Amino acid sequence: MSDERKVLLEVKNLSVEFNGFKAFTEVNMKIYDGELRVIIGPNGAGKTTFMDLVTGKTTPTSGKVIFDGVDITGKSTTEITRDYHIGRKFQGPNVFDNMTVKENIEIAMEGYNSMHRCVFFRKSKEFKEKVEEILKLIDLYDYRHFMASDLSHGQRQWLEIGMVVAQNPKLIILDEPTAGMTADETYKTGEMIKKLKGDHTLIVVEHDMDFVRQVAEYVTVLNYGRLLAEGTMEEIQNNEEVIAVYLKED
Amino acid sequence: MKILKAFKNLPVNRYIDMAILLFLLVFPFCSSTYWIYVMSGIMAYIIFALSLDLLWGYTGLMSMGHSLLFGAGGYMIGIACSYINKADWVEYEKLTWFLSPLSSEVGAFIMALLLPALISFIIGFFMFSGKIQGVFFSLITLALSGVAELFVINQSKYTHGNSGITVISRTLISDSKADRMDDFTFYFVILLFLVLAYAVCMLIVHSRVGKVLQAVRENESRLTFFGYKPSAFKMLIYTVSGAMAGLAGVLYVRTQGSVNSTAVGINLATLVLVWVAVGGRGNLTGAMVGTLVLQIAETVLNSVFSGISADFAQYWKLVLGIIILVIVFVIPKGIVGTVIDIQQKARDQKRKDAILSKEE
Amino acid sequence: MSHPVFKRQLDLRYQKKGGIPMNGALIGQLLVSGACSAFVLLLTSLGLVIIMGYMKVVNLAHTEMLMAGAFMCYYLYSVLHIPFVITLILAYVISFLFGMLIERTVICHFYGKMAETLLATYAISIIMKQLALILFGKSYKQVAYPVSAVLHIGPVYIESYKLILCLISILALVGTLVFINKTTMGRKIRSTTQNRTMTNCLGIDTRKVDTITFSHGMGLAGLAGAAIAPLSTVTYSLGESWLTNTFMNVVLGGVSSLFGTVASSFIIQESIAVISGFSNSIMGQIIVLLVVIVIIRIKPEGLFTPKGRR
Repeated sequence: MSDERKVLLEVKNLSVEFNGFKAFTEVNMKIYDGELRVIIGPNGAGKTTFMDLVTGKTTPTSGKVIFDGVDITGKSTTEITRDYHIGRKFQGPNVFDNMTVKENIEIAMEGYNSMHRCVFFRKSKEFKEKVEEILKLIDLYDYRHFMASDLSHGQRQWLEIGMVVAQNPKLIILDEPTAGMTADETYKTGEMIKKLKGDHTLIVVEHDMDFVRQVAEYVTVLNYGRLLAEGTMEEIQNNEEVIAVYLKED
Repeated sequence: MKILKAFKNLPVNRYIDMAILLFLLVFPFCSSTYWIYVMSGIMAYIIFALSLDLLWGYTGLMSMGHSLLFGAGGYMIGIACSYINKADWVEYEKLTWFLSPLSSEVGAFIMALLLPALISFIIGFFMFSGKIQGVFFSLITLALSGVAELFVINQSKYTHGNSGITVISRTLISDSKADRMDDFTFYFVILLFLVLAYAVCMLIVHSRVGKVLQAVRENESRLTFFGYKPSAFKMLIYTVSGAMAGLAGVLYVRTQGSVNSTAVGINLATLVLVWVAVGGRGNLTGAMVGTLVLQIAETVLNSVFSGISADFAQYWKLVLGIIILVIVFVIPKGIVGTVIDIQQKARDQKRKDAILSKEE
Repeated sequence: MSHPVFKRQLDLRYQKKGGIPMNGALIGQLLVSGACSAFVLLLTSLGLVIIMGYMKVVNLAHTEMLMAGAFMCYYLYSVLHIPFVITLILAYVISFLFGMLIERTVICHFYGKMAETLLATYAISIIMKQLALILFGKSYKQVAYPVSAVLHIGPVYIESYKLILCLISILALVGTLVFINKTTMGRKIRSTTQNRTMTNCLGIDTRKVDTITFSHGMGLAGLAGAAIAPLSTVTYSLGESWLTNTFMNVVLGGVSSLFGTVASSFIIQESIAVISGFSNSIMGQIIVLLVVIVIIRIKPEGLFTPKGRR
């Protein structure tokens, strides 16, 4: 890895404790602009904690989160999303149930989330086109008038990916995007994520190793809140430590 | 042709809205003066119900003390009227500083909208920025309404305590008897306000703000991850809803010709919840249907049974309790909500069929 | 009214008008009567807090159960002359059974649905209230004090019945704590609150647990209603007058520990007592409610909520 590329997200000596339980210990990581990074690790490895720390849901005990050259440690969720353009898809679909698919995407659209913008909002042509584009990307264009609650589990996951894309974030964090999907759906999701790469920087947290092989370029392995290894998929697959704690189950 | 198609694609509740409007337009031409008076009061109540629907149906904030704002509006008119016309129980010479706008008729009308808005803004500020959610909002508003009733009775210097205040009826702004309209004209004044209020509600719920409010109801924490500040939106809608409830209070007081402590109390606050729940929340139509059906039923039954038993009101409330139970058991979405659901299901089925046939 | 306490209060008002400054005895009197009211408030809110804390159900019919309990006290104690202690026990048992009926027929269908629960319990509350109105009429009924002595401790007067109320209140609290913390049933209740699915998987019938919890809460409400009957005039609208204070108490104390309820009962009633010494009790109530809203702004979960993980 050449270090000439622009660093988008950097965490420095990041640690967090919950009532004495060390969920995350002294992790250093760099994520470059435009890359697709996959984070894997067994249960309790600190994957979700990592995402919480980056999106401001949890405040670290020590260490720093630097995004795009700015220290965002300890900033609130709203600020981080609005001012620093980090989008997050939660584990398990987390959408607005009793609203239509189209409305869900519209709510998420970038740049219309301040009170002022909402009050004086008019649907422009570009706005409509962007919404349609996203609906097509997540393959829900035909379903745009359905209530989100009437969609299948997989479709709801895609809807949430679509919502995160609509935010047009610099960094997209996807928490187990394929959880509960059929093999077909998982494959389709992989292709979607590949399409997103390049326009966005992505961090994907995943369990499903087939899926990881499908999309991954560069992989970070966490274990017990510590960084275990980093490297290309091939390197990781041959790393003995990693095999010992994780891949052996596969 | 295009208009006809758009008309056909409307959700079913918009047809009901049109039917209600038509009914209200025709009603005074074929009813007695008494019923015109009754219906004017009901229309003021409908505005009140609409203001609660914005808050509860769309934003998910179940205010159990909305009458606080209704009564605040009504009492502003009451105090102004008793001061300007020098009611015989008035002993004070001058109004205190924050009530001083009430010495003019226009000032009173403005205060009647501003004070409820201000109260709801302040309550909203404390509650929403402090992350009070769900049931605690309901309980605090309930307690506020209960205390407000005591407060109004206690401040008898201005409010005439338990006896309430007599107000010049059937005027909009003026407090002199000479400006009274007849029941017929006043009916249409209130209808005009109802149409305006409905239009404002439609504007809000179909705007982006309205969509954000629905998103608050559905999943508030998710919304923060899209960079929204839900508390600001909640404060906004609570304030708007408060002003609207105040307007409803003014109109109601002007129809009745009096205001007393029940206007701020828990009974009215829960009654309006019942109207909205019975009609169905979150579609505006339900609030109107619920109010119309229950209030007309009460008036009709009252006139039928008053010959048989003098204590009709207590039986009606008992029936009301049973109606609520039946509604929450059988059609928890309310009358209109259920009708919309049926239509939505049919349309979804059509769309699904279309998608499937396209894939084949 | 020639009741000594009443006279005393009249004296106090007279003193105030005469411009005599507040003295120690007056403050003492206010604090003592505030403390008594605090125990009464604790007793009347206990059932509500338990149902809300352990079942996440807001029981709007709670205050009507107080009213029903007061009527039970009137008919059992004043009319049928059953001894007061047995009346209290009977009130608890009848209310418990009534709670069981309500839970099995209505409440159990609405778990987890806040708006529906509120509406359903509100419906029950107006049905109860209107039935009381239809059955018993609008008349006011008096229940004589079981004990009527007035104690003088220094310059402070206490009605002995109020002391007994404090005792009942403490007994109800301790009884509930023992029930929840020391018995098998209590353990089941706590585990159901913690994790319903898991408890179910362990072979515990959580439906039965819900029924018991709700019925106990209602039973306590009935008991409280019977206990306060001698203090108040028994009529169909008795419930309404308790609505604001009991719910305010829940809001301030939170529902996660009974200790919070005890503390907030004292805070609310002592403040009201002291403020009403200067002004009147309604102003006291208003000021306290506004202060509660401000406090809630700072501690949304109510005071005395143990800090959870994350």
